[in-house]
Amino acid sequence: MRAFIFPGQGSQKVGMGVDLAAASEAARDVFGEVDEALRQNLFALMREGPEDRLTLTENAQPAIMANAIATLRVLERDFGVKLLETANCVAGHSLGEYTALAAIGAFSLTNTARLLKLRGWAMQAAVPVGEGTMAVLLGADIEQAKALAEAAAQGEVCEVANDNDPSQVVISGHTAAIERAVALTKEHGIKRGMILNVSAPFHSSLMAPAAEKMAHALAATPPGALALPLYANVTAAPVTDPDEARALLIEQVTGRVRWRESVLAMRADGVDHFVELGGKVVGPMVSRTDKEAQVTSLVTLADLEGFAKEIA
Amino acid sequence: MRGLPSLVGAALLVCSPATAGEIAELGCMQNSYSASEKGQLDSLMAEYQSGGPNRSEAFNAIFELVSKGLEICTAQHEWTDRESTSALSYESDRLALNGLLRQGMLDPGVTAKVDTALAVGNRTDLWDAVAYQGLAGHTGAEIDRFVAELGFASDTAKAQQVRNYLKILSGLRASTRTFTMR
Repeated sequence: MRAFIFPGQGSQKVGMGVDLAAASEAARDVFGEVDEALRQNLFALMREGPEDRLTLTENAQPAIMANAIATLRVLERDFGVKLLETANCVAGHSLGEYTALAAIGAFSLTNTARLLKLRGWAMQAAVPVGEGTMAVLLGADIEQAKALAEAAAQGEVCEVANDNDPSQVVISGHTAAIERAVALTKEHGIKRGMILNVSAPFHSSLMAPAAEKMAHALAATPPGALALPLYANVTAAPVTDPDEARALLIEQVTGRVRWRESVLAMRADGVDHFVELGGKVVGPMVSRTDKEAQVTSLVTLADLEGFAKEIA
Repeated sequence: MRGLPSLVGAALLVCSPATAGEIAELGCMQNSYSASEKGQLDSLMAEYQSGGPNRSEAFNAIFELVSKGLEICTAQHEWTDRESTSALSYESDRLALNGLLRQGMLDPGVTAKVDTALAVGNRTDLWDAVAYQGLAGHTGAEIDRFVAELGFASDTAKAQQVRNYLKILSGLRASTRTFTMR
């Protein structure tokens, strides 16, 4: 069985999608539609930067989605590999969950772009700049990270935001609490903690106002039928019901991304091949979670051509 | 009904350190629409908030109009990305508040009572409880106490209106704080 998986924030870089757009009309169509949906020349920002503007949450989220969907459309249109005939399920890391839903036809590309733009705006605006941050804990498992977060909270928000793989957990919350957590890493047997260069404490309780805004937006533009099961971030379990998928997208804004558990759940359900589209971020997390899993990352045209030949 | 800009402005002046000038600049987007666009926004918000059959189309049309307003004001005031984001957030909350008042989903008498009560003290615990919305160990007891203080403890509908209004004010406060961090 095969899962198509989609990256989250952090995979953006200046130059993303440029080669695909130069080589394929299918990719150009995607970037054009996203630009039109957002009333913004997002593709120019992806092509030329500056990097600090591309990294802004409100730009990075739709850009990463556009790049992944462009990769998928090139695979489908130019190489004849159809997602619905090739994959058994999908999953995406954080914003990648919206990309996954777009990939299986539950959201239109225009609505996905707009929902992600709104999500980026809402998440950025939920907490005044400087009041919240995130930190990656290297060499930490989920139990160590939970204990550390609890010890560092001291009445503030300090929560496990992403359980990425057995050696990488991300915490999120009030800046002072996250700084305390990083200072306490050694005491908790964790190799290293590093504050991340992010503008807001994503996937924490501090994002509650953003969840509220997304609840309204998703009520207006709910996902349609899911053509394949989606392994949801907050439950690490498959979902096929659009109403449930919508509720989980709202919960995801403040909830933990249980990526490691999602990978294990897909493995337990028979997935042995994970194909990451538009990045090389979540694929390595899969490899670190289960060394036996086959992982393919599709970023370049050569990657797509190689994959098409492999599964022919 | 009181005019909305003055209502929002008054509430914010009571509960945030922003100056009237800053609030006026933050409110740029509401003055960027033509008269016909304002009318469209009112009816679109009604459709969006009431869950009508054309809610999806309303979302997309609101997105278009608000994005256009953001472009105009960003260029006019040379806003930074942070200022643009907070102004957009402010505008979305302002539109939500305007819509609730227009559709009778918020009673001006209730909002006036809330505004008066908020003028007393800094209400830090209340704002924390509203911001976390029941998460991070906040039970919402502080909000219940506030509702009781207003005399609406046994009036479920008005108690809910108070909660809805506080949520919007909390969003407006957060946007204002971020916008004024110059």
